[in-house]
Amino acid sequence: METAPRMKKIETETSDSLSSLPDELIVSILSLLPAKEVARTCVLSKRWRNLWNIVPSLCFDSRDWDGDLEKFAAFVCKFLHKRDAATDTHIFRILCHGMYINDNLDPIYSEATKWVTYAVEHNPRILELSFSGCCSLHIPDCLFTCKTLENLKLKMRGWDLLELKSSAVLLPRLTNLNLNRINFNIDNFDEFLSRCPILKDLSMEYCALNMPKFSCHSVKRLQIHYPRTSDETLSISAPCVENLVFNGDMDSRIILKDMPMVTQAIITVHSFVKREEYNCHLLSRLNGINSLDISSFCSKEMLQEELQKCPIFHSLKFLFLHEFCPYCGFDTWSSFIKNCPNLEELYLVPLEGPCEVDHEEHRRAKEHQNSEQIERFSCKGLKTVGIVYRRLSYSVHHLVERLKYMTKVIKGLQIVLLEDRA
Amino acid sequence: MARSSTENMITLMSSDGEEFMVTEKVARECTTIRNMLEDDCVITNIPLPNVTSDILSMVIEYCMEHVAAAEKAAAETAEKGSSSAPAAAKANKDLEEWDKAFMNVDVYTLCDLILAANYLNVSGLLDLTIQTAANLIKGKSPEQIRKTFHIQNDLSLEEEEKIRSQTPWAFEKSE
Repeated sequence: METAPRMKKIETETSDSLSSLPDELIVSILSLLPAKEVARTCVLSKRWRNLWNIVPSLCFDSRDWDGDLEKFAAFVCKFLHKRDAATDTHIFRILCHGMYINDNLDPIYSEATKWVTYAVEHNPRILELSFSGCCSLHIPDCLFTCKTLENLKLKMRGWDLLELKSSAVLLPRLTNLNLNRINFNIDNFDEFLSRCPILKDLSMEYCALNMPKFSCHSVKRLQIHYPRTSDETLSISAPCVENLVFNGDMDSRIILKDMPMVTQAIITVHSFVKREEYNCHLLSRLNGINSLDISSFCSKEMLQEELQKCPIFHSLKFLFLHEFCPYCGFDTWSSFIKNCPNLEELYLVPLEGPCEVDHEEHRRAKEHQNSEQIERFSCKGLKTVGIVYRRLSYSVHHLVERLKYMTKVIKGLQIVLLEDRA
Repeated sequence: MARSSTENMITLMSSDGEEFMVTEKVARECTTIRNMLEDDCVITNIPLPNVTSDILSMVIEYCMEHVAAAEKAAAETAEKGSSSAPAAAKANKDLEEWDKAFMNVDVYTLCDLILAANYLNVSGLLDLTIQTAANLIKGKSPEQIRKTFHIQNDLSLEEEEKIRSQTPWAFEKSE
């Protein structure tokens, strides 16, 4: 690849190529810019005088005003007021950062309600409302009956979803719903979801799920991050989910019903919260899985105990083990690996910080680590073992050394080192 | 990867009369050409009166690189039965880096590429060029944008002042 920019012939240099693009292409470029920068293009030249008016994608971000919310709100009001009313707003984002409890935010919230109404009236496909700080926004009812909406993202700290007349909800085109930091205090979230007939992707992050149950029949990808529940149990039924992301405590109060369609899952466990009457066994519900990605931050004993309860994963071909301790990881996971008879590729992401197990135990583990132990960790069909690392450290080298045993046990096994450049 | 000799070749002709022989697979990356081929499958010579030879050669370079990357990924999937995630992620990153280097062009070439990608309907290239143009605008003052893109300011000082005074909120600086 040549490094010098390719230069066109000099005679074209006097023309103004960007301005000569058709409106629709200039507008596509402006659609990728924050609204503040879009508005400023009106003084570039006569050609640009009114182009900002017809940009169909708007992103208002308070950080562009260094968190001065009054100026931010004034800008949004004026921008929407001046804008060409006949132009649709396919993408509409309000990102309001830096809100503090002692600020008087009521005037901003009452304005924000109008902005949402404006967006809904202009055929939005993607709508994102993000308010950090305690949110008391009144969401206009029309949002929940928006016929064009495909993708809705609500991030509103502590916002209570107290009641929803499900008859007042109908989102026929909604495919993606992302809810963040919302308090659900309703019993009929079920009904809400049933009024989103083609919802495919449901994500709930840091939400307080104070409801006994919900089911999402059309959802193919379900993500739950750090759920909070009341003392009651919550039962989630998602029969069509193929792709599951769960990140949080495995709490027996959250009951994920059978998910026979799940083929891919990313599970991050912080702890297993146990109750007398029922254990969670999320992993045991994933017996049709093809690719599994696990990180565990809970104690070794707890994890081991849970892993012993797992069923046999006949379809599992790809396994990622994050936070893998090069010393005690083999022991912890050997019972699980035994249950993956058809595993083909195994990726280990070595633990970067210190493992909770003390040095003395590691020293013993190191001495006892022998081919037999590694053999217990292996399965016959394995073709590749990858070590995914951020930086080459002693633990990576140690892991490579351990894995050399495996190549003796399994014919044709390939050991690969992969740098994680993310 | 070895190409089978039976693969159909298509000749694309630029506005200035230069001919480019490409495989049908590469040509099909351009939705406009794909539609032509689907309407008339015996067509082998396609004139493109809106694209100059230097721009067309770049569009072809882009399409070839992306076809090759897709073929490589498909071959790996076929070999292993399914794709392995870290390998796919690395391939994506490599292609992203290739794209980034490919976008090391002056603003005239960039705008011509936008037009060509739009006309030939190469969605990946259109997204890439549009994003590159947006990145060049981002964070710049109107004066800097004019300079970057050689935009002739045909507004008189009075006119510009008038626009600024009508929309002062657009130019307010945050403290």
